[in-house]
Amino acid sequence: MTVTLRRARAAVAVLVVAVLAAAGTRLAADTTARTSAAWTDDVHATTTVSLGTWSPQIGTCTAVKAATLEPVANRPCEVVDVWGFQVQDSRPVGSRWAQIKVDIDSPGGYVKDLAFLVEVDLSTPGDAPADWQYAGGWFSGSTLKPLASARCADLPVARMLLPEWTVNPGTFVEIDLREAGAVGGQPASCSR
Amino acid sequence: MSDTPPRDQRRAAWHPRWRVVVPAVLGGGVLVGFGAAATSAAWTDDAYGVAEASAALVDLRGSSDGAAWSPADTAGTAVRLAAVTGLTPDKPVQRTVHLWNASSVPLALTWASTNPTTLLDGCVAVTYSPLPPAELAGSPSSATAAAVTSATVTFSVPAGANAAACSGRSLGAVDVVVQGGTS
Repeated sequence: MTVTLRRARAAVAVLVVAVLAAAGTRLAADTTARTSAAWTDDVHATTTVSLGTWSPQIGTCTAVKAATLEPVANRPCEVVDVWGFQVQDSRPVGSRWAQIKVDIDSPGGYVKDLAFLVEVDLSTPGDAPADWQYAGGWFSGSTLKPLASARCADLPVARMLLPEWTVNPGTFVEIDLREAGAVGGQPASCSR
Repeated sequence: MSDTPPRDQRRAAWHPRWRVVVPAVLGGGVLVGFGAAATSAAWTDDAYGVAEASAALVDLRGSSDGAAWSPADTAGTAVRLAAVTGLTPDKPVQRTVHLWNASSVPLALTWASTNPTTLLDGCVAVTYSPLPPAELAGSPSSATAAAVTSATVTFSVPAGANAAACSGRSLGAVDVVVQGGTS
């Protein structure tokens, strides 16, 4: 009889432990999430957004010091236009040459040793023949200053260094553009 | 007993007396379970074991100018930042929200993961300044320098965004959230 009672008590004790353990674990799981959620506070901020209007970007222009290409602070510059893509001969596709014009503007007057680093996508204006082949081609310009970072492989994007006077009113820069098979012309203004 | 603690004030009871009398024989699982339960109960208004409670306050406030503060707990009561207008590719616009930890405890600040990173079909990119890596000290009574910081949201038009598709578009309301949380 005593043994039976002891066994019954032991069984009850085990049962109680099991129930309490389960309850405790459940509470822990339940309240962990609740606690972490409780200890936050948000701040909302709101505004409205409206876009201005702009034209498709045809290039970038940066005023720089000619010798070092260091940007000149507070001297704005923009590519005003790229136009007049005109094929100059009747050679076959892949060996033609053409001319294209670039106009930039930079208000601020004359500054010694100023130059303008210009990057334009020559295909953007839409004047080029649909079959113009940029791969393997090159560009040149008698007014362009030497620029080591100008790579012919980047065409139709042309990177150029323009002298200070090219921002004068009514002035534009004329670029010769050649396909890979073209012959003659000025030395390339980009590294091939 | 409420499941959800009140927003700004919760009581702490670190040593409910009954906890220490739980028989050791009950085992680790039971002790862990009740320990967590006691902690949980401590942060609710009508919980048990609050005799040794100390007050705790969690309250992050916002401002557009660093002077006029509001709880700004919802989009409807949000801090109103100046409108972003005339956004173009070459002119990103920044807006600053000032933050005051008016809590009695330090708070770690994070941008909500739901904050937008693009708007208007990609015509606008939204970026967020880093928030202080260290917890922001609390100061319930006043916006002291140690309890205040600021965060910046930058709106920009990505390079190469389609001018025809993006020019002139607008969006009525952009809601961004900074979260303050205890560690």
